[in-house]
Amino acid sequence: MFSSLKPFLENILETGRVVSVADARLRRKLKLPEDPSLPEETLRKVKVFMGEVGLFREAEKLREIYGG
Amino acid sequence: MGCLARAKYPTMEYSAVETLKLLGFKPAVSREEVCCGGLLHLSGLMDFKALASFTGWNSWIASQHAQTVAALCDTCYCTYLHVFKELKGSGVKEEVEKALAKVGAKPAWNLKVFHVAEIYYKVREKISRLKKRDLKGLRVAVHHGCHYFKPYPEEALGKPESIRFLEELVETLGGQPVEYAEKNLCCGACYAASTFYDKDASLETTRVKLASMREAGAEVIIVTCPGCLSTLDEAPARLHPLPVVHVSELVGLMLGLDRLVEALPEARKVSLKPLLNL
Repeated sequence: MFSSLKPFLENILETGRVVSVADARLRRKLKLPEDPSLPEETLRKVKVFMGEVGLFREAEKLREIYGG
Repeated sequence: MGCLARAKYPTMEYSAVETLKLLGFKPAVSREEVCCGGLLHLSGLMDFKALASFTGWNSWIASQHAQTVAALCDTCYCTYLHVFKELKGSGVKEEVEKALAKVGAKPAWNLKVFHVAEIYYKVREKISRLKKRDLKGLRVAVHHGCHYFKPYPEEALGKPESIRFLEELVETLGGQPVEYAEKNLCCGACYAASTFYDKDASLETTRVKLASMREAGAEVIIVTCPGCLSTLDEAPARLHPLPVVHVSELVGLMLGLDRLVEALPEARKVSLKPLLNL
């Protein structure tokens, strides 16, 4: 079912990762950088190449076919 | 690193980096790494061209630090292999490189890719010399994720039907690996994270897997994939889940990473008492 995977797809399109929300409390405890998400400028570049290879178009097609 | 290890299981990120340092490597982690794309590609939601662009980006980021990738996740590992092996004949190489060039990225298609478990195996004697704790005969079930040895069996350490290198690592650490009938069965995630979503089939697969491990007397499970870890650790209580750790966490515990000992209980649903009380 598309619906079970849609959140992963949307996460990739928005953040570049399938799981985007990190366990900040645990990261703090381990003395790791609290926020492991992509830096803003990197994410901008990632969105550029995702667009170039047609990922946004493909996602739109999937949303039309399966709904959401 | 992989999305799950970074976001959900930072204990893996921490332990992998710290253990590799203790073992004499110079690990580098970059916040610029993106998802490998494997989950969506295997589910038919991302074509090969998009997948290769993700691998191309990650290889470019990695190549600025090293020429070798140590994957913590079986799916990430398998994705690198898949793209590196199939890109040449795929007809999309040029398009992918052109897309990445727009943002100044130059893919390094010739990086060497290992699973971090393979690295631990290769330096197991050193781990044994440096270890501060011992498994003291603990009975351990080893689970390799399907994406480690099924898509490209020729790359796995050992014959796919009889891979035993993690069992050897467990023995080196003083544990007792158990032989169980369903060793090569999937953890159950394939039906849950798939366009063929079937929760019942997923749970039944996990039930059979866990029952087989228990029948063989396993007290803890070692996995090589955060996805498998999540499936086995979060199995419903009626399936009688066992304590489960990633191989990087096991090595970290044995090498005496104090912060890991403190953080691990909070990173699991099933109590890790048998491992933490050694």
